[in-house]
Amino acid sequence: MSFVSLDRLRHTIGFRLTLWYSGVFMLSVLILFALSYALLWSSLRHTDRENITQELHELAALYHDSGEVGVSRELELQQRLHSTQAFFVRLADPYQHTHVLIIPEQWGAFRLKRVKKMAATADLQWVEVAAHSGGSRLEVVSLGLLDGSVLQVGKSTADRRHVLSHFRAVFASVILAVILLGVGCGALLAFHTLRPIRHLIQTVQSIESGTMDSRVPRRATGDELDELGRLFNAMLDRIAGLIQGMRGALDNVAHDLRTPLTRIRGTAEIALGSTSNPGGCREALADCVEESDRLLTMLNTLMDISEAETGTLTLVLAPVNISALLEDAVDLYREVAEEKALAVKMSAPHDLWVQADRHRLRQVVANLLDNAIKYTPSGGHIDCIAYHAETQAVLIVEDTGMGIAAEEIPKIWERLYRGDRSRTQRGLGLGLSLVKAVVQAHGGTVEVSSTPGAGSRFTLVLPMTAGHSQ
Amino acid sequence: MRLLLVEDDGKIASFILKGLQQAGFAVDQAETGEDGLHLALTQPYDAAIIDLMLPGVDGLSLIEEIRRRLIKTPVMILSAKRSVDDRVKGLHTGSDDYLTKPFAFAELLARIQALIRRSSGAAEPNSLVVGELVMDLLARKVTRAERPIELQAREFSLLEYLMRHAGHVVSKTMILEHIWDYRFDPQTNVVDVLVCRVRSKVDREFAVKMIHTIRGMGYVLRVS
Repeated sequence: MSFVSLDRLRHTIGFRLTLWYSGVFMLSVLILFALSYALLWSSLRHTDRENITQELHELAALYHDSGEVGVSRELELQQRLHSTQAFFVRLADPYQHTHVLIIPEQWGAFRLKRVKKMAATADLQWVEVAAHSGGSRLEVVSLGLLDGSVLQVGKSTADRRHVLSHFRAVFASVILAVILLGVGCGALLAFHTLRPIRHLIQTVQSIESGTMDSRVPRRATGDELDELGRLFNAMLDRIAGLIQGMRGALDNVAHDLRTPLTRIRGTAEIALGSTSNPGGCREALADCVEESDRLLTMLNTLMDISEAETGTLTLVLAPVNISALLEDAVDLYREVAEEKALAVKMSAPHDLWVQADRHRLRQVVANLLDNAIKYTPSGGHIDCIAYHAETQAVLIVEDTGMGIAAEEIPKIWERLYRGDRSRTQRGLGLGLSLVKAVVQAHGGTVEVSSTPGAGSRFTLVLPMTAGHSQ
Repeated sequence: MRLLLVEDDGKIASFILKGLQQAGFAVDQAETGEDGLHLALTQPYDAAIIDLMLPGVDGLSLIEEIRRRLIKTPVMILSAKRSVDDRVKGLHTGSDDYLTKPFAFAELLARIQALIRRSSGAAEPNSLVVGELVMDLLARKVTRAERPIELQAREFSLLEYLMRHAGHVVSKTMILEHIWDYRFDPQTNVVDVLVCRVRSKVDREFAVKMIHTIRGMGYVLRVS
């Protein structure tokens, strides 16, 4: 592994998690060891001292019963029985003359000056002296006897040290395994915990490289990282939906523009071919301009519909007075209606307001009225009615026109659909699609009921508060 | 009248140039923002037409710079973006009008004339006269060859609009926007119907027709 990748590894969360985990783990193990070591040390010392004290009391009793001779005999007996002597024993008179002194041979020499200086008291007095070599120590207790002499019994700490050093050796041999276990567990924990994050990173990477349909694998654990994955997937689904919608809209627009473009091209081509007729050329040019205008209107309307449907249409929401809105629309068509001898009536309360995009809503109402005027024969009636209905505003455009056949009703909302009977009229076949898209973008609904030959009724329901705007 | 046109698309520039020259304007054209800025800073213009998408310095920055140098020439923005936001942004920058591509040349011309009229601060006339047609704007009365013509309010507005642009073509979109304040095209020909009514009142009793339909372009009111 190169230095650079090591450096990078040092900055990963996984590395830091492992380090922390194994650090804490090892610290715990060390504390545990220290505690048990201290416990072992103190319990060994306690046992040693108990043995020493017991020996001291036995010898003191002997001295009491049979004097110095009894003690010497007992010690000789012990030596003969055990072949090695476990204890250091010294018996001195009140003038500090040593009468009995036994130092087990294998112990080597000890600095006994401090032992000799110990005062003869009725209490037990402890002292530790170091050996001349070997690092071993002698633990001695002294007791003043009744006649003023001093009895001292001691024991080397070598046994105890031996046990403790064995304990340390065992620990030392185990600590490596403990470190490995700590690091291993830490790494495993980090690896396991960070798996959802790695999945997330992989998903983002594969999306960056163009695989839009890849998703974060779920583990159904319901924890925070799982929730993050779920939210991330939901976001991706929404983005994919929007892209799909845009792509679809683009395909439709491209398809719908081909027909008028073909007409323009054809007209221009024929005009170019007929060189002898300047009047014909002018006609062809006028056709081209009219067709271009139509194309432009169509393009704009298609874009509006697509944007409204995919939720990307910018709605400038403001309070809109429905009565004024209807008046505007009726006013726009006043002359047309008069020419056709249509009676257009409107009734709406003056205080009916909705939160909407005024420009878009005008377009919606104008489109509905436009249809009503187009498909209602001379002498017919058109009624524009609006009223409150709880938190909604209802807007109705009703005519006494030709009506819509039942099987055609679901199709009238489709883009560029034109019923057989509407083909004779000027139009793009986009009006009702736009109405529906814009009304839905405002959070409203639009419905139609119709009796062929008797008339149609378009009912528009808008929430009076804001629709969703994006 | 001298105009500055900053437009990088050769074909669009050439048709605007030809049209404006035919309408009697002297036009200087620049293809980049830098050239446009240079011309705007060194020459006096009555109005400028500036495209937003330009190589180098873009239209908005150009307008900002012109306004920063305290040059008051009225500016019209041309743009292929039709969203309301862009329109508002353009007007905030210091431009005076905004026209979306594609547009009818008649509309461009009418708007430029309106811009120049506004900035020159010419006094509002009390009456309009086109040949034998006379409109009294205060009394709201119209006569043709001394004979009074009765018009309804909206018919009056339309005739006034045509008379103000006498000799120039006025498109349907312009009429819709001016008379009804509608910015989209209703499928039924509301404009045709209104023009028909006005025409019948203005021209019916006279041999010489004044209101003409130019197919594909719009309507024009002219003498002869």
